[in-house]
Parts: sequence; structure tokens; C-alpha cells
Amino acid sequence: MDRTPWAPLAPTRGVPRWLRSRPFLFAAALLGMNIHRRYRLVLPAGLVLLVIGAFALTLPAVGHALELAAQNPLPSLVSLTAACAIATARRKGRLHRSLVDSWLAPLAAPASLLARALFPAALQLLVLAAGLVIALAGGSLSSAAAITLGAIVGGAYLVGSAVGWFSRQAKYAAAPDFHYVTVRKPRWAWAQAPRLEPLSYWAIGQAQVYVKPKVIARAAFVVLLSLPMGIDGASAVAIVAGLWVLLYVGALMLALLRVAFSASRWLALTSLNYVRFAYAVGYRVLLAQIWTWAWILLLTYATGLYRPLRVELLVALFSLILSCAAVAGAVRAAMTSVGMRSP
Amino acid sequence: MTLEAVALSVQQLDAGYDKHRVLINVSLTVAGGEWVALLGPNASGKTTLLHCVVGTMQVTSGSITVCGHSLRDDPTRARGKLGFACAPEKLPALLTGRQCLEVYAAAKGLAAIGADVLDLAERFQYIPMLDRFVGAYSLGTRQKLAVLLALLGEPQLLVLDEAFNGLDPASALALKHYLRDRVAAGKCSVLLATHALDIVERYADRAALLLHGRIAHEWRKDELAVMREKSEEGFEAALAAVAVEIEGERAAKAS
Repeated sequence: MDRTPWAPLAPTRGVPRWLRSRPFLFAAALLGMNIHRRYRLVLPAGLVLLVIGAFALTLPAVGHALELAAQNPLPSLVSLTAACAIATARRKGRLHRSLVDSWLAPLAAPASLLARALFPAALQLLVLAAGLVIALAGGSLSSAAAITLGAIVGGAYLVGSAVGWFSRQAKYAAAPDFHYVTVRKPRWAWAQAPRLEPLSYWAIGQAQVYVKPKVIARAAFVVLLSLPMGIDGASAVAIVAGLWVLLYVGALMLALLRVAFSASRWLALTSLNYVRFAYAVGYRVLLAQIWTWAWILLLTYATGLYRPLRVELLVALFSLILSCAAVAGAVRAAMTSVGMRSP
Repeated sequence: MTLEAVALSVQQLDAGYDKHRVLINVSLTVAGGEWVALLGPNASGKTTLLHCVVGTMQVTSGSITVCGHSLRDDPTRARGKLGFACAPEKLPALLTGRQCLEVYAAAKGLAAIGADVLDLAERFQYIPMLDRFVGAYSLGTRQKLAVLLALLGEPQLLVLDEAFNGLDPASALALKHYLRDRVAAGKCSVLLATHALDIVERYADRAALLLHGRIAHEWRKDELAVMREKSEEGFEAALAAVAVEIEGERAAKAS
């Protein structure tokens, strides 16, 4: 290839014209090629993982699990369809956002929405089909089960993609995520006696963004679909409520990790010490968890469900201990990553 | 290439995010071969107006016409006449500068990158950075690439948002001269949102002040010259005084 500075459009030689005239696809193709140039280990690591995956598919235990899935097609079909629908709906959201905030957005060129929406799904479908063929060729899967699983995967992707695409309304400019977070009144003495208190709300706000209604709605949808047949209403409500609590607690922990690292980058040049930083980041997260678990335990006790109460108590204790460990570990790691030292 | 008499016409434009109205009844015209500077304090709506003009933000009401083509009815043709320098942080980190230029040039249907853009890139001293990943660029280098992308394909209307931010003095001067020469030759019009008043003072044909989402005042070139001469403390103080005066009148009306 000619390496003179302005070799006119050199690397586009040999690239089909239809691709060159579609900037989103062209840029994505170049990005894909550049990942190998930039991160040399990605391609070899991917190939190794593929080989390990292919080998795993020939194992009798995996074959047995696949046979079981083929014998009970409904749960596999429903969960795969739901996963595909959710992925497609999210992809559609990302694609529509790119029409507004991408560097290519101002161009008078095709946005290639359909191709960009279908390509990842087609690639996943190809990988799943290849997996079935490998399992079949390796002898771990019978041909009847392979055909059933192939039909499940194909049907789930077809229906899931359609449901996901049409269930999400295209929004030109999405509402910002912090739309879900309450803005609190500042303390009256914020200027005279500044404290680290706002830092403690950051993780709470972040968690509220993670559990915003549209995300919870989709997760709840999957849980509702996977509820066993013949279950009574009270149990179904209890399962969904339990899921919500676990999601919220999980979101709090995830937010805690994220905020610890973000805040450390922001505060790297301050003399903030480990204890104050950990307290500021973590104490409201722990309080929120204690509050949530207290309510759950109280309600369970009030309804006289003593057996679940013991389980809940154990889960609550485990969650609080895990959160304390997460605060300590995340803050330590975050401070170390930006060179903050505890005096 | 003949330049349209009116490069940009914005009429009674309203736009906003959710319930928050950012632009209120904004009307603005940029003639062919004219350099218009858009001034205003932070959060006055300058960037929102530019995003409406390039079609990356939906308007609530009003109309935008670029070189005779309605942005709503004929967006492809209207956008085809535009060059917009996107925010430097939006450039893709995993492409090289050369690849970014190629993608843009190919999307605009160009067989080759214009000699004047290549010349400007050399004056920017951008060539050594061509085959590096954008992710490794400094803010100034990203800004140079964003400007070069905007200039590809000889657009009739250049829309620039704080395009001089981060540029070193030599590159900033090269860009000012490049734009001045193209505007003077009648090859393009420029709409530039900026806080750099030296550009308004020396290069702009007209300036518009955006306050709280409304065009509060417009100055022609001769008016800008008079204002410059009248003020003892310089052009900056004169402009600031006008803004304060308008703000005071607005507050008085509101009360």
C-alpha cells in the first residue's frame, strides 16, 4: 500500500462502492479491522475461546443438557425469544441515538439502520447454528434434538427480533437517564461548611438509573415468562417482589463500584483519605440496603411466613457483608488506580 | 459552483429537550458568502441551534432552509450542502485520522480529497498524525480532524461550534485565513458559534447575540465597527455591556 501522506483514498481500493457510500457500515468495518491492529491479543484469544467452546460442545455432559433443552422446548423458546426481543429493542435504541449523536450523523448518507440491526443477530444465529453442527458432528447430540434446537433458535430469533424491533418506539432525542433521579435541596450550610455528603448520593442516584422502570419492566417480563405453570397468585407476586429487591440490591452494588472509580478519577488530586472516601461513597448504599431488607423482613414477619423469613435474614446478612467488602475493596482499588494514598 | 443568495434561513424556530424550551422563536439568515458569528453566554442555546441547523436535533416548530432546500422536506439535499464540525470527543477512537477522512470523503461521494483541504491539513501540521488512532490524539488534534472533516466536499454552508477551541495559535490563524479567503471568494458561508471576540471583530460580517434561547440582538459589520470605535475598553467590553443592557431590560419586563 502506498504510504505517502495523501495517497488518495488508498485503503478504500477494493472496497465495494455500496459499502463506501454507507458511512455507518464502512466505519464499522474499519473499526472491526482496527481492533486487531490496536489490541493484538483479541483475535488469538477469541480463536482460543472458540476452540475451547467447540471442544466443550462435544462433551457428553453438554450434549445431555442440550438434549434436555430439546425435550422441553417451551422454556428454551420463551427465554431465547425474550432475550432476543430485549437485545433487539436495546439495539434499536442505540441505533436511533446514533442518528443524533454519532460523528457521522450530520452526513447526507444512508444510516443503514436495518443492516446494522440485523447483522449482530445474524452473526449470533450463525454462531449458535455452528455450535449445533459441532455438537452433532461430535456425537454428543442426536440429529432429532439438533433439528428441534435449530427450529427453537431460528424461531426465537425470528419472533424475538420482530417483537423487539416493533415494541420499541423510535425516539429522536431520548430523555436523559438522570430523569429518574430526584434532585434534592442543598443543605443550607453547603457553602460555609462543605461536606462529602453529596458523594454518598451519587451511588444512590446511579442505582436509581440502573433500576429505571423500562429496565425493570423487561427483566420482570422475563421472570414472569419463566414462572412455572399452575403457581398461585400470591407466590407469583412474592417471586416478582423478591426479584425486584435483588435487582435493586444488585444495582446498588454495581453503582457503588462504578462511583468509587469515577469519584477517584475526579478526586485524584485531593488529599482525601481512605476512611473518609470509603465512608462517603458507601454509607448511604449500606443504609439503603438496611432499609430495604428491614421492610422486607418486617412484611414477611407480619404475614407469618416464618420459613422464608430465615432465608431472607440470611440473604440480607450476606448482602450487607458483601456490600461492606465491596465498599472496602472497590475504594481501595479505585484509590490505587489513580495513585491516591491514604496518609 | 455558484453560491445560493441565501445559504441558511431559520424561521421562527422552537426547540427543546422534553419540557425545557431551549430555543424560542429564533429567526436567523445567513447570506451566500457571509460569515455570521453566533454569540451568547454558556447555555444560551448556541449549540442547540447549530444541531437543529444540521438536522441532528428535532425542532418543535419553525422551518430551516439550507441553500434553498428545506431540512424537513428534503433533508438529504439540505444536508448535502452542509459541512459540520462535530464535537471532537465524538470522533471514533479506534479509527485513524486517515480512515476518518476516507469514510467522510466516500460518504460524500468524493473521488479525492480537495487540494485546499490538504493544504490546510499541512498548515495544521496534521500529516504526522494521519495514521495514528484518534484515541491517541490530543484535544487540539481532534479539533483539527473535526474541522477537516467539515471542510470535505466544499460545502456551501459551514457550521462550526467553537471550532477554534484547543487549536494552537498557528493552526487557529491558518483556519481563520482559510475561512476568510473562502468566504471572500464567495465559495462558502460560515455560521460560527464562538466566545472568541477577536474573530467577530476581525473576520465576521455579522454577529447575532443569543440570550435565553432568543436572538436578542444582531449587528452588521458597520455597526460592529462603530461599537468598536466607541468603546474605550475595547470590543469585548462593548459587547458585554450590550448583553448586560439587554438582560436588564428583560429582567425589568419580567418583573
